[in-house]
Amino acid sequence: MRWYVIRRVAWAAVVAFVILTITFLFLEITPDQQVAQLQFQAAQSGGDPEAALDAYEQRRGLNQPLWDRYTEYVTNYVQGNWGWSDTRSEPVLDAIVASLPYSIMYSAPSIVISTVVGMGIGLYSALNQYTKTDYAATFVAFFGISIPNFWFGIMLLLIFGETLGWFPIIFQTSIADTQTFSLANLRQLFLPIVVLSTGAIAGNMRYARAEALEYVRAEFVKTARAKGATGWRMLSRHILRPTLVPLSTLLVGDLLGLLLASSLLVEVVFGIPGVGRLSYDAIINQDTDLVLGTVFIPVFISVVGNLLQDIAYTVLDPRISYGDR
Amino acid sequence: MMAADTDNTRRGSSRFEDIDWNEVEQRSGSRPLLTTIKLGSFALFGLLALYDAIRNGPFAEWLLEYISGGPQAEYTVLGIEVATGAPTFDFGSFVWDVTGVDWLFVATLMVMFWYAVVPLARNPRMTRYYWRQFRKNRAAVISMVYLVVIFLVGTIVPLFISVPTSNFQAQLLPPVFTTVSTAAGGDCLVQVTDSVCRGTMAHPLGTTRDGRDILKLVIFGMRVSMQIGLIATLMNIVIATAIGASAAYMGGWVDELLMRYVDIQLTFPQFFLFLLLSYLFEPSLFLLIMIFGLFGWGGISRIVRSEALQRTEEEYFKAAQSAGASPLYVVRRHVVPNVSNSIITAATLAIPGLILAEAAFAFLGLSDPTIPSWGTTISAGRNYLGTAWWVATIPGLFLFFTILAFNFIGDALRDALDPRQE
Amino acid sequence: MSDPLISVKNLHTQFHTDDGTVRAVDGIDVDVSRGETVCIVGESGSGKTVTSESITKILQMPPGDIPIGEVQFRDVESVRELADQFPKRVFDVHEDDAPGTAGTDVPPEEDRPGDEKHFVIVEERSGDRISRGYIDMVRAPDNALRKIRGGDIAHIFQNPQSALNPVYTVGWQIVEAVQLHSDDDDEAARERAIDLLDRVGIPDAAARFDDYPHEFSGGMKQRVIIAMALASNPDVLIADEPTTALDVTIQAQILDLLAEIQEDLGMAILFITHDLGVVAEIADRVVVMYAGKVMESGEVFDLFESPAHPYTRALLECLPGRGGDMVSIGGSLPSVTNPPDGCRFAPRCPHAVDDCFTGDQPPMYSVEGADQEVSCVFYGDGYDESVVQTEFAAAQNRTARTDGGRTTGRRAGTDTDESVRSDGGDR
Repeated sequence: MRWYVIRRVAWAAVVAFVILTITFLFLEITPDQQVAQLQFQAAQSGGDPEAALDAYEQRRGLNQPLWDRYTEYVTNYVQGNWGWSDTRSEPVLDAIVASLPYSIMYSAPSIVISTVVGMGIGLYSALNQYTKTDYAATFVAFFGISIPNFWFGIMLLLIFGETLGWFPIIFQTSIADTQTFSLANLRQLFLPIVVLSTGAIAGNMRYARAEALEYVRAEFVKTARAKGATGWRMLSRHILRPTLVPLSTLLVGDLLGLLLASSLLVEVVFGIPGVGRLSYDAIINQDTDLVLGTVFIPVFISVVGNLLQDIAYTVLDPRISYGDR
Repeated sequence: MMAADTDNTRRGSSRFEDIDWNEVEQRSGSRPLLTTIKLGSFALFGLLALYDAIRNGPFAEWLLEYISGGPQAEYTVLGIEVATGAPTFDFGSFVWDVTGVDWLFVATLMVMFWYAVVPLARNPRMTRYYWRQFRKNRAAVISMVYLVVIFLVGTIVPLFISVPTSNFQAQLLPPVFTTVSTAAGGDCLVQVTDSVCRGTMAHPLGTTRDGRDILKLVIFGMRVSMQIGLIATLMNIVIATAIGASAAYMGGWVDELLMRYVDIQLTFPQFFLFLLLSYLFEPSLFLLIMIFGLFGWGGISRIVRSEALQRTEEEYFKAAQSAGASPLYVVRRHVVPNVSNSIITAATLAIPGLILAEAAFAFLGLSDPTIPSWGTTISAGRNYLGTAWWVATIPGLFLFFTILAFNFIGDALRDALDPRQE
Repeated sequence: MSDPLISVKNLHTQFHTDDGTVRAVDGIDVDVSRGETVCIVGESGSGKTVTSESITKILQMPPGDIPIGEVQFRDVESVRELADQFPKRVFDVHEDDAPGTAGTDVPPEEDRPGDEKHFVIVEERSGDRISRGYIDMVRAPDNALRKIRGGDIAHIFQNPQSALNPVYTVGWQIVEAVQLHSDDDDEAARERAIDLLDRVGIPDAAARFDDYPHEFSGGMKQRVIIAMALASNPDVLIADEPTTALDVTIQAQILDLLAEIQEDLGMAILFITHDLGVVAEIADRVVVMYAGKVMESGEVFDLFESPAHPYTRALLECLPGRGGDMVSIGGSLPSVTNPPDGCRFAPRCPHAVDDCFTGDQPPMYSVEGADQEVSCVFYGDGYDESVVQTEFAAAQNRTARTDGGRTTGRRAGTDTDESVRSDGGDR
């Protein structure tokens, strides 16, 4: 077991390293858009574009040999020195840390809600297969996974913000800062939470239903019934527990990716100054270091998530032998 | 072959031993002709694409830039006059400048025609069987009709209309049959009362802030969505099948290497991979399709591999192998056809994700702004939610229903094709 | 003679599917007395597993449904206990002025005592104590059945590979069974579980307690399942093909173990199988099922010595080593959604006459001079039963010659040439 965990951690490190390397190569082969901009600015203000380029390369260390730049790039990231954000005039990591709370404010409730509600409905559907409730839940889940979240957000803003006026249209950072746990903050976070949860609930529900169905019909559930177990006991001990094994894959792997991607769009739609919005602004403003930093955050969350998921799998399922991989 | 067998059994008396296999071979004599037409069509396509690439493509630009010393100079390659900027086809009233994406799209449609439509048409018994299975799911049938309409309108109509442009005499017109208060500040074609304006058939779905017709924008959006969905998916299928099947067939370190690479690619959240790449390169629809097509196949290749691994355990596979068939032949003839159901299902379920991703990128402004995609229009309507609800709502509905339709069909296909599912 | 412990009366179990209602069990009667072993024999699809799962209603409902029938469980202790627990659902045959007839004759649906809500039926009291009565399992609610399931009537299943939950240790699963029917604390339940594992012949039981199911072989898993079934000394053990999935040598061991336990604990066993060899070894009485109906039932020696029903005869002739060549029965099981009129076996029966294809399944006629009942028109008035008491294979060949193969596929689309052998069939 310990040996397996060690090897799995090592593999995660290799993945992170490979991703860093590939990104470095991409940076190398693509034209640096900032250079063009700098040269243009220099030419406009009557300066020498070549000199501006030299100065820029000097500053960024671009005149060093490729290998040196590569090792520096990797060591910097490993040491937590993720570069400087030109647009925000602060280190990339500081900018990310500053905007992280706003992202957590709505994504944490969304994760909890979508997990609990999604799995609840999924299990209920599986236990009541072929009933009207089951059909209804399945049909609604189709809408949930199909509705484009950014458009859904806009529609909610149009109906509940613009037309009905129930929820504010503009996110007020001051409320989030000073009264984090207030009704006012909940009101402005409500729609983002709904949008983020909808797709995740639907995905969760479909998956939980499919997995649980496999176990509802399982022979060992019949054994439990023959033993005289109560309905609740069969559900909680004999169906839910084995269902959790594959579900952990979904929760960590797919759901996380979904939430991370959705959160960027949700933050742009609702104007929440979280990490997603930071990333978007960095892209629009061509702030390459900040773009990389904000992209690496989800990447590393995903690397760690995959690691935890594999370890969780071995803990939850006694049949997995640790010898694999 | 299947059809030939049933023909024989239907005639009643004949048994397996009695079948004259030479006759059966001869009866399917149309095959060489079809193959010729197929190869001919691909060859013709290749020649046309080459012609366009020399005359008008990046190659032509490079030629003019570096060999003839400037974009204005004239140059001839293999008798083709190089002229960048000129449309590929110009027949007076019908002008079509075929872009890189268009070439890819035509290629995709040709592959779909030869490898999906033709086999189905040649095997009506199987087609009828699949159709019976599929028909059970009413939502999927409706979805199919919807998607066929979207596909036909999106592919054909843009050839005859031009990209809608700004029209400052028709700003923020409401859709037909709806009215809007003129206080919102838009133009008006039919004034109902002093303060109320009604939409007209001239712009049935209304117009945007800068007076572009939403119906036309939506139609161009259909084309973009179909292009992204079909081209990138075809690329994914081809790569995933090649990688997955060879990993399963070769095993050993090849399998290990390929699957570890897939691990890494899948660890990188797809959305952010696309985001980073489209940031690093100049955004264009062509690039977006390439990114989606070249980096979106990880999940399908895993399915292909595991499916192929199961198949390689089976007797017919071992029989083919022991009969001395070459590895490539075995993979092509025995592995791929047997996993094709899983591939088709997985691909259908992957299409909505790609369409959604394109729309999201266009919405974020990370796509080519000159190509009207649904995402771009939704983004444009965002700022006028209060005054012009229709701008963001209408293209969004099309996007939503398209994704929904693909999901319904994917689900129905899984039920029809994949016996392991309930 | 005392009342049987379990009597299944006119049981109908159906499944509602997209393709129509599957009448898996279509009106059968089975009695099991204390301490005896009753075997239900039949090929796959005959409804024997559904019968066994209908008794304690462990089958999935829906899609399963028992519209008609009664399953009487006559354990006075349980009757008293449930009568205390569900006073409003007790029906007293003498007090309440009901038309219902006590006793064990087959009551038609409308003659059942009490109405839908009554499931504890009291027939006699001595003083205040109930001295005779039964629980109608079909009407009993889930929370009443839970006491009986595992407590009084235990189950073991066909496939030990999937009958144990893979994510719990075997110890946990046995402790669960113990604690569901006792007030034992964890320590006592653990002791009991280890005793049980030891009892069913798991070597080094205490050490294996914390092992997971996948660490056991198939035969050992079946022993664990038996240990679990014994957790609260049940009166009846329902064993649904417990040896089918096992190797032949292991099969014998498991059968020996069951016989040994039965002797120790005095349980009744309802044994479901398609294997007549096993029946000969363990049964006291045999019930032969075909397509949801009982064809024949009787004492094991009588039935093996002189099978009365042509189907039983055919089954026995399928057994290798019983003289003559191995026989296969032409045709296949009739449709369960739309069964043929008359005797279910008639389309495959070489002796079938026109009466066999009309009306309902023939009633159970007693066989003269033997402890046997048979559902075949030839045992009724005006028929000569000796017609069917000839060799099945010979009769089959004879009809095939004269009749152009009527046995294969006269009805119910049975023109595929699937055959039944005594050693095959089930999964």
